Amino acid sequence: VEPDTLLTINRPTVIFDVQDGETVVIDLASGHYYRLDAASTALWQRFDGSTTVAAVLESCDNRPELEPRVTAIVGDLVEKALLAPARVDATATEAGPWHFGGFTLELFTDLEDILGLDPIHEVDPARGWPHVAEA
Amino acid sequence: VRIALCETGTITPERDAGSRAVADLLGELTGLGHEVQLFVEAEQDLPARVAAFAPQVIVISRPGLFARLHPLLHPLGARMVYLAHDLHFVRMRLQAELQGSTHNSSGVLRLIEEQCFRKADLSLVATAEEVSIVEAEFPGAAVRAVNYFVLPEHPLPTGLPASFQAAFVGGPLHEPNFDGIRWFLSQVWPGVAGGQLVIHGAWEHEAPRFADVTGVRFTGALSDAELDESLAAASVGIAPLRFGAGMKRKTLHYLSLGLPVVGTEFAVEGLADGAGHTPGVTVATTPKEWLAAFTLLSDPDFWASQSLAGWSFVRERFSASRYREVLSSALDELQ
Repeated sequence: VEPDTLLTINRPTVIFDVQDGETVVIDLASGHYYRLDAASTALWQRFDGSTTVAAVLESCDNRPELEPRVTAIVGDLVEKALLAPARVDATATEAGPWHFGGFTLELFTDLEDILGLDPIHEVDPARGWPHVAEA
Repeated sequence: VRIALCETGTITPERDAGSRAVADLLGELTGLGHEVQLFVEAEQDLPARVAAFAPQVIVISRPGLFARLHPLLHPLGARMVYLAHDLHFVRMRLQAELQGSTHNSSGVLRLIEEQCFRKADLSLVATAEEVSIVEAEFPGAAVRAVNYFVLPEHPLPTGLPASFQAAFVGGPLHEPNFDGIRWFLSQVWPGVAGGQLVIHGAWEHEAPRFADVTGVRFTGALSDAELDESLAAASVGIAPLRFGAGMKRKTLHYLSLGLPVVGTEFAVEGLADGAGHTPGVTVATTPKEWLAAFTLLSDPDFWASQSLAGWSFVRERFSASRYREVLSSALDELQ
């Protein structure tokens, strides 16, 4: 991820909810969801708008020792399609200083069947019902 | 009215009840004279294909699909309908309570389903109970109960079969089915002397787990005609569901064939008559109640009265004409 690329949460495919400081992030495309603890939520919320890695680091009060780590985390979030480049007409969102206290993305896959693309059709396309497609 | 009906994949009515409900909706909307086209997400460019159809109404099946598609299709200006099938967050909450789990999947589903109910111009659920839950949980949501299933008409059976045979219909991928059969085989079936239990559905992978249980036969998945033929030999349909939300097609299917039913309260959700009972169904919770119900149904006169009551109830409430009446009313409200 380029430091000056404007990033945002990948709506509408990704939705999230913050409750008691913790965040649940849901990827509607894969059916995966993630839990973020309070410390992780602090970084996630930086992208509830549009911002760059450079700006996130700039406003971080413990930036110097963390720069490579934060950059890697943001890269991972982009790779997972939880963050995505903002629209071309988007402008950076103003945000105050913050403190990086760690980041853990806890993955859950138990709702894949309900939320995923094709929850009921593991039927073999050549042989049809009731033959199950081979993995 | 030009109606786009969106589903995740090719519908396979013989595989799952949700797919069956979509097929029924498609058939009855067409029967009402609407121009209906089915769009499948698994194929490419669904939003573009829907836009080219220029629908006035877009019906989207299942919460994940609605949440994904609403932002993409809403700009078309058509009225958006959410076909809920089930209140998944309620079912998952009940499952977690029953199994002592503290998992947060129910909360995640509630978040998604809230978006669906709030963003849809109209949501369709199967039962009045679900309407009440949605209205209480998400005030302001426009939600209506539709019949959800259309049951074909069958002749009334001539009488109680000579030997006791219980029948179950449902696949194990739906967790309440698997849990229910596992519970029934361990808690109730050992108390049944000399009968046979026939389990219909794609249980090939799970059947070996129950290999040491006597008197149980797994048929595998059957066509509609084969299934009805198999059920004609049964003396009771069972629905030992210990959690769930929404209307259960298996209950209606048994009753439509004149097959008396023993089931839990979850098996009869949304199926009460005016007096609060489900004709043809004996509700049982504990193993003792299940066995008592089977004993009652061994009396040919009681069996015949239950058979007729359930059969008549389904013919009156779940016919194609009744379905179309309720669906028309819901669509009128939408416009």
